Amino acid sequence: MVVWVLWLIAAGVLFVVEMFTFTFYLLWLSLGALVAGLVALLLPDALLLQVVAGSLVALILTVFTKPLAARLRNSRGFKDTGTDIVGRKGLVVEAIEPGRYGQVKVGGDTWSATSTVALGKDQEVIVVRRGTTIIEVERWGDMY
Amino acid sequence: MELAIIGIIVVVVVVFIALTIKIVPQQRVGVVERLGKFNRLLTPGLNILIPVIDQVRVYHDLRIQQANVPPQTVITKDNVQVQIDTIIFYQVVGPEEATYGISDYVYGVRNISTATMRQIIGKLELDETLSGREKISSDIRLALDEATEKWGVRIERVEVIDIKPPLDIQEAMDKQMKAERSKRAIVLEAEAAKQDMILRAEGDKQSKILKAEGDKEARIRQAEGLGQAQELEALGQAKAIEAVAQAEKMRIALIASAGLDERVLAYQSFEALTEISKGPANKVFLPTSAVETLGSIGAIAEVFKASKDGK
Repeated sequence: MVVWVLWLIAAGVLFVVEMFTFTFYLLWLSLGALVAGLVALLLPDALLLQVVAGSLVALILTVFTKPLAARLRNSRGFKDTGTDIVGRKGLVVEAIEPGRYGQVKVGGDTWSATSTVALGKDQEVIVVRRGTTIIEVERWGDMY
Repeated sequence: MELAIIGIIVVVVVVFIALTIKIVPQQRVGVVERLGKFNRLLTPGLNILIPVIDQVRVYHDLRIQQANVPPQTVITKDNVQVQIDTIIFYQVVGPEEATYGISDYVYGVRNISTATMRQIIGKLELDETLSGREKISSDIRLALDEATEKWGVRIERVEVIDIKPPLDIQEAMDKQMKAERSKRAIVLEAEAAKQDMILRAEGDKQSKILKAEGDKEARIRQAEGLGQAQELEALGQAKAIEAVAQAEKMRIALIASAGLDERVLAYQSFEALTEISKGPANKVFLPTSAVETLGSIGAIAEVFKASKDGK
């Protein structure tokens, strides 16, 4: 069997596996194998040259993935409700005193909250800052 | 020889590329360390790493996760051991803290929830724990938020699935419930009896009053009728007497006008005597002056009497 056919088969198998697993690097390896096959078509005896050519192509493609990744990064993904809580309106469930935690309900979730001013129950507040589990709130009317 | 070189090159390239390209799925995040130090977070999507230098230490799942806490025996304020079964919902919100702040956050979350719950239930009495699940949840959240702020883990909620008091306490509670119900039944019965008696007494009273009133009215009416009748009778009598008197007066006047002579008088006396003789006394005294004139009349009277006796 001729060498370039083997390369082509390798490229095809890698491509199929890539389609199933979606790991991305198998795609580059598959393209590398394709290039090696092309080299094999011209120089069927230089096996080392074919491998080096294929590997180089695969590596170069990998390096060029970075700009592609940067471009893809900007696309919109799923936003977690917990992560963009800042700026939303909440309702005080348990009174907040300065220096002590109270509880605020923001969109169905209850959060422990601090504030620089005392806030009574059932007051409307705005989330100013968010720590890991504790949010900082201000009175709703105070922002402008 | 050539084949060995080819093999090495292929292996190196495959490993190199595999380490370089990382695809992270949505809601997962990887923590990247560059030569052992924290470098950045791998966000969802396509990521490029420098092999050997960069290493992914751990992946975190950012979704809300559940952790069952095995049933815990907790002692309440009034020294009752209850078995409490809870479930914890938590979410990794700070992947760095979750990696470096605590060694095993799932274990930590479980333990801190259990400890906090014991502390909170220890302050409550049994009845309060059974009815105040909302309060327990809210208290646990406040205590947990303070503790887990440094862990990068937010405990979404701690739900009390089941609170099981010991068997004998359950039986006692059952008994109490039954006793309370039967008490209510007895009270209701007594109340019904009371109302029954009151209603009967009231009916009796009303009927008596009505009867008495009827009697009273009847008597008043009777008396009124009697009074009116007597009045009318008296009036009638008075009128009759007046009429009689009038008639007498008229008669006397008529007699006077007719010219009263001795013969009429004698006739009258005779009439009177016959009337007297009909009375029960058999002796009749007549004025002496009258005897002379009436001597003959007396004889006649005797005759009458004899005839009367002969009857």
